[in-house]
Amino acid sequence: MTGFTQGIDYSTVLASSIHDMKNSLSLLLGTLDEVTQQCPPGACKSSRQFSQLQYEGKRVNDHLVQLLALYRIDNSQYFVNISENNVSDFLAEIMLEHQDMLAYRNISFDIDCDDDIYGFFDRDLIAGVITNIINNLYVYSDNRMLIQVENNDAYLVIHIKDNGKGYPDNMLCSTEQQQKSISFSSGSTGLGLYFAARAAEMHKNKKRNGYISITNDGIDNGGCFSIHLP
Amino acid sequence: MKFWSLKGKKVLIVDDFHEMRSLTRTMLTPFSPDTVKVAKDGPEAISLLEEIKFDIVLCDYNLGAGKDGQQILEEARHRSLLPHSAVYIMITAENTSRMVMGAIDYLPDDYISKPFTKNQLQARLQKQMEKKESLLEISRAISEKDYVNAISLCDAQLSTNPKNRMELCKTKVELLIKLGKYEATEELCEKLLEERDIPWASMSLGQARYHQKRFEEAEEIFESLIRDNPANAAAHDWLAQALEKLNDNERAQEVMSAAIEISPKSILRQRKLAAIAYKNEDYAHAEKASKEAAQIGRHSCYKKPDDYSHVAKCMLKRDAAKDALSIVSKMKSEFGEDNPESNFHASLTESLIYMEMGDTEKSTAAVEVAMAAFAKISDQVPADIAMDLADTCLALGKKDEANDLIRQLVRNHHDNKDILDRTHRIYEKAGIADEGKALIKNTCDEVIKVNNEGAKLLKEGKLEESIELFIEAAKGMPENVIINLNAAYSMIMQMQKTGMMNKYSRRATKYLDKVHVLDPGNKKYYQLMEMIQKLSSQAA
Repeated sequence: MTGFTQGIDYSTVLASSIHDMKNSLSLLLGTLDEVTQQCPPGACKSSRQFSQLQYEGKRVNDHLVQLLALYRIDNSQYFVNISENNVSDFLAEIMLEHQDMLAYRNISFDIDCDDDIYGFFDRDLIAGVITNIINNLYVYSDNRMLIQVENNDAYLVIHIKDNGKGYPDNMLCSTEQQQKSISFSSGSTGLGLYFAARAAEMHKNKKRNGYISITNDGIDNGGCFSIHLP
Repeated sequence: MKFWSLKGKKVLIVDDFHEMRSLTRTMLTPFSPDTVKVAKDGPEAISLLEEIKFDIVLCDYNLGAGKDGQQILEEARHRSLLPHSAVYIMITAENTSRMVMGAIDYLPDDYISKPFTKNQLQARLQKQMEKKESLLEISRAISEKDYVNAISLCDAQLSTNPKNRMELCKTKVELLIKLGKYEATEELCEKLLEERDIPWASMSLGQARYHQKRFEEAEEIFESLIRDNPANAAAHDWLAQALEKLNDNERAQEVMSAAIEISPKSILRQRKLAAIAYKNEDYAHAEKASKEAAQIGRHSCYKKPDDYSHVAKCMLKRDAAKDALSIVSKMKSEFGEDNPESNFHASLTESLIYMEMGDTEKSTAAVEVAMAAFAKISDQVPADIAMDLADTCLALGKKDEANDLIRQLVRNHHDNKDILDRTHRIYEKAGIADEGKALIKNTCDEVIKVNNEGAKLLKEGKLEESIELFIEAAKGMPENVIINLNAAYSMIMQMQKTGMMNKYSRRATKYLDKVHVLDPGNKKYYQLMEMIQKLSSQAA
């Protein structure tokens, strides 16, 4: 049928919907934050529920961020905004948002990153990827998490390690070549993986591209998700 | 752990959503800011910025219809409504790259995406404020135009291997370009580019090549930036400029059209496109771009009546005289009755329209209004518009007025071949080529004579007299680059000889500032500025 062709310009629709959704989410999470502060654990019987609410609210936002970024990337509308960032400051800021949930799940975490390491990357994009991975680890990790950063000549590598059972075989990939075969269709974690892969790939320097690798080199043979940025 | 607070700080929050304004304000309360004001849109924000010197501005990018956060930033910086130590953070709902890539002159200090928590906001604010602290001396030097000092301050900080090395390098490069030190710029940029493809370093390298008139090399650099990142609007701007210098005006227009796709709300880009399209006789596109510029202008501090008169001119090219007249009415209602610049443009354009329509009476009446308005704002009118006025006067038989206008134009631009050519053509068109030639030549000779007299006085060491001569001359021909340069130069000579810094330092700088506005690429400007700055630092 020819009637369906005109349709809506999703790009514009997206922009205005996002504006509204983000405002709502801001209020939701912001008000929740205020209420949670009035209700500390131990002193208030609803504090667990508040934590749950905060977590779910953030999950919605994380999905929104990912969805939007993917839409833009796939429509060639995303242009990386590379800035020089102090990696340990960057990671600390991210972990600030996760520490409550991690505590709630009894997962202890460490950041192993030298103070003077600087990376060139799109801050929002990589923060989105890392947040995604950590959200998964709430469920799949055992009780420990470690973010380890190494900086060799060619790449800045951010390893996110856990001490869970490790990633399933069909997810393992360790080189750039293998990563190219990631497609969206491989299951529930497919989208997150695809997002991470695309986000890394958008970082280029002198003909080197970013990529991700997944191994079970984590803590006690747990999983290790690594982001390689040129 | 250092305790951080907002004591003594004044904060402005701009967001179109009432609850967001409250929420953000609540987040800041525990840090005890001195003042927190809120605004829901551009006009409210600007009005508060005019009233209060804020230290921090948190502004949502998307404010519905009207000005957006980037436009508010531009107006605040352009009109110096914010102290240079103020932190401007743009609140965004999504990917910031388009904003960064689209901005021309002013970028916010940082971006923060919604939703953000109190902790995230605090962390960002703290970081930015500390950064501003550490750059305070440098930004003060820059705002006082003491670029030489600013560079040495950058170097001093760079030698301590600081956290913000890249930012300091970028600032230094921008200063080197301002001072016309293109070789040093290239050296620094090439070194940085060895390690990494850094867009701003490539941009600066391209600009350095451009300023050295190596236009093909500049073209290559900007092309490659665009290949790497098709959304880099600034690279498009520069590419178009380079192409114009290479006389590839058609491609320049294509490139500017692409730039507009990336950043359609940029009034300055729409104007560039309009100018190039007009040059290429593509009046349809020129009209469209000028219309956009006028439309965007309604919310912008860069708005000008020119945009409307350009639209009208383009309409005349397609014989739409009536439409052109209604555009002029729009201009008048947009700018009001008491705006001399608008009145000038309106009446000159009307004169041209009536002439097209064959109504000599109305045309003459309009040009007389234009002449009266011109008298009030002559130094703000660009040369090509003044020539339009002269042309129109001649066509309507007002030879004396035309001659006066042309004499003044020639006085102000006696060494500008393009302008002189055009003035000759105006007289040719009116059938009095020889008369025109004579007038132009006599006026040029006058200027040269005055200049030579001044030079002679300088040579003879009669510095005060030469200063007086050039000051007087500059009054009569305020836009003459050489006269302005020589006024500054004679003052510099006097300062070198007798050290009369107080008397002349500021005045010489003012003449040089004028030169820089009139002729941004002028090399002597840099040389003389440096001489003044050297003298200042010796005196200090």
